[in-house]
This record gives sequence, C-alpha cells and structure tokens, in this order.
Amino acid sequence: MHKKHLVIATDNEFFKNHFRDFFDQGNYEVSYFDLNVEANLTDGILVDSKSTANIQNAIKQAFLQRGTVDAFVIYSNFIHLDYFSNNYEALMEYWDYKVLGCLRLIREIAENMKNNNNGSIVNIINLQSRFPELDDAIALSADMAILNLSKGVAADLIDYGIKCNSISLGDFEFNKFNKNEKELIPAKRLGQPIELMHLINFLFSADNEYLVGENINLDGGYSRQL
Amino acid sequence: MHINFSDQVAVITGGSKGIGLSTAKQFVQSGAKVVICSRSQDNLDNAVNEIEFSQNVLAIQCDIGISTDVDNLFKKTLATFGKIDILINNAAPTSWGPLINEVEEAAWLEAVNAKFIGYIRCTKLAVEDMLLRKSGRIINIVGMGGRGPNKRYLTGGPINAAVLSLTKSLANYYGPDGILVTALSPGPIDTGHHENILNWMAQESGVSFSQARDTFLNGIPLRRYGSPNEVANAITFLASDQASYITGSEFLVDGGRFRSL
Repeated sequence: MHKKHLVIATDNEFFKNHFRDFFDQGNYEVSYFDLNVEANLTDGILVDSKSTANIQNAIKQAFLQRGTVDAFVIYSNFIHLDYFSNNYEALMEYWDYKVLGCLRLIREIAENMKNNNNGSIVNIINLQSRFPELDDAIALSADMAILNLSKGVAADLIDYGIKCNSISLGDFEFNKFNKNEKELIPAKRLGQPIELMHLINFLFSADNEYLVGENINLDGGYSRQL
Repeated sequence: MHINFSDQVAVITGGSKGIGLSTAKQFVQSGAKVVICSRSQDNLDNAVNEIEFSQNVLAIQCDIGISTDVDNLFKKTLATFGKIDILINNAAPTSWGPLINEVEEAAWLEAVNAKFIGYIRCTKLAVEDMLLRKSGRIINIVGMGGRGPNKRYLTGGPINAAVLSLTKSLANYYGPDGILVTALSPGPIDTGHHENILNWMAQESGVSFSQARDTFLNGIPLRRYGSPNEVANAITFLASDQASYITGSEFLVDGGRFRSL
C-alpha cells in the first residue's frame, strides 16, 4: 500500500514531537525540515528558509528517500522580535525567514506536488494575530501576512489540484502565544495537541476536496467574531 | 462637515500625489500645518504649487525605507512646526501581477521595507512626540489586498494584512495615552495605478481592456472608481475630533466592492 509522504517544516520542538507521535506511523512517512538551527531540533533536515537553493537541496534529499510529497505543513514561531527595538535589519531578516520563507517553501514543495496534480498544504498561524498586543506585534503581524499569503496562493495552486488552507491556533500549551485564558474559552480548556493533529489529518485527507484557501480557528470557540 | 485643524500639525508620507496630495490639500484648507514627503523632489515641487496656502506646507524629500531619511523628516518637522498631531502613513502601492513562482524575492523584501517597516519607522518617531501631549492620530493607509487576498497580489496583500494587524496592536497599546490609530483601505481609486490590474484581468479572461473594465466596474455596487478626494474626505474625518471614539478600526472606502462580513 502506498504510504503518504508528509513534509513538516517547523522550528517548534513540541509541535514536531506531537506531529511525530501522530503521523510517523501506519500509513504515513514523514520528512522533517528543521527551520532554525538555534531551535535545537534534532534528526530532521536543517533548512534555511531564507535560501531557495537550500530549500531545493532539502527537498531533493527528502524526495530521494520518499519519491513524491503528498502533504506539507508549516509552523514557525521560534523567533521573537521586540516591536520597540529599532533594529530594522533584524526585522527585515525576520520577514525573510518567516513570511518570504513560507512563500519559498510553499512554492518549491508545490512544484513537486504539481507532478501528481494533487497535494495538500497547511499553514499554521496563531489565533492571537486577530487579537494582537504590541509586545507580540512583529510575530503576529507576520502571521497575518502568512494568512493572506495562504489564501492568495490557494487560488493559484488549486489549478494543479493542490489545496492550501490554514489553521489559526488558539490556546494550546505548546503555542508561544498561549494566553491560558480558559475562562474566556467557551470550551473552558486549552486545546489538546491530538485535536490539532486530527484537523491537520482531515485537511490532508481525501475527505477534504472542497476546503480551499480556508482559515479554520481551532480555539474552543474563543474567537466569536464573524 | 466642518473640520477645524487650526494649530494642528500633520505629517503625510507619500503626500505629493494621489490620495496623499488630496489629503494634504484638505488638511491645509482646514487650517493645518502639513508636512508632505516623497522620494521625488520634482513631485514635491509640483505638489506645493498645487496646494493653496502653501506657506503652511513643508515639503521634505524622504524615502521611508531609509531610517536616516525618516529621522531627518521628523527632526525638520519638529524644528519647523514644533509638534506632530497627525501622522498619515501612506506608502506607494506595491506591485500587482506575479504569481507565486514569479515573485522576485529582492523586490518583495524591498516592498516590506518600504511599507510595513517604513510605517513602523514613522509611527515610532511620531508617537514619541504625541506621548508628550497624550494626544494624537495615526492613520495607516492599507489597501484592499490586506483583507482580500489575491493570487496576483502576493507582495502587497501580505504586507497590507500585516499593517492591519499592526494597526490593531498600536491602537490597543496607545489608546490609554490618547493616541488613536486607525486603518483606511481605499478600494479601486482613479489614480491610474489600476490600469495594470485591468490589463492582467483582460489577459487572464481573454477579453479586451474595456470589457475587463466594464466587468470590474459591474462588481462595484457604486459602478465607478472612487476619487482621491473621496478617500481624503474619510481620512480627514478620521483625523478630526469628530472621530474621537474610533480606534483600531479599518475604514473601507471602496464603493461597496468588498462584500463579505
């Protein structure tokens, strides 16, 4: 039986471990792209999202082992930049790493998926980008940019059978922007990693044929706006 | 609507043409002292010639993508007029057209620097002065691509979305200090920039330019482009005392084109 080949690009160790627990078994084979050397992730392919050539090499490595790619998920939130810093060079680098890096990764992975005329891409961002505080403004505005990017490219990639969607992550323990506001969450609890994995799995699956460019709030009902 | 900006000082980036220039004219007519900046000295000279009461206008050549230029802009503003009450962050439009595999990375990053980071540069310096009086208005001109992503707007769309998020952050943070921060997204405005988009639409749909234009205009409930002056009207209102309870909001000045909740 053909195993699905998933690629996960992240700089979040906890997310990676939960992903591994859920997907790295049974019907799936997983390639790990470790996005940030300082995040001290282990056993993945170290990928510099600021370099197209580096991404292409990583994809070659992963595909030499697995053939093609069926699904791709990206979640990046390791770096924190202070809004009040005047280091604009660092801010440019951050956008290069996170937002343009996301574009590069999607573009290069999608090139492979186009060969199969099929694929699924999931961008994970933070729900708090809809309720941003200035301390976190740099990261959360970049998340909003990724949400826009995800919806924008979805309309292009679906022509090749590739579904691109995003998940806005509410209060989960491994989410850096977790506010632990259980009293404000209608579900009265934090999200469980397994619940995120189930949603990703659904978006990857053949059961999802018509969700395209969608953003799903996985937040226990926290976001109550239209 | 009577607006009185007497004794108010406004800085308008991108103030030499289009929406920025229309806003500068309205502000000056309402009694404000206005600083306009642009990368082009020629455009600034033309703008000053167009504005009545130009003795109340200071034109400064400035690229908001360059920190030293922005420092100079605010230093000269304070040296000339003594304070900053209103900041209109109004950057040049970003390119429309490239699909994901056509995006030029260096130009993409330059656009981030020129708009998102440029807005931050200007905001920080304006806020420094506004905090002294616990009062101020910042209006970020965004663009519909922030709320309405498009496969051919992969530079401007994400940047505009980030500016919307930033606007909310700033409004939350500086509200208690009396500084109100809003966003304004112009829809299709008759400034000439839209021709490029219509050309793409015509090409993609295999129709003539005028057919693409008709189809596009039929998608706007008001069936026409807006004018820079109509956008300036909304900016003037947001900057005025009449908008004293509006912060963190996004105004869409788009003839009803954006139809979702």
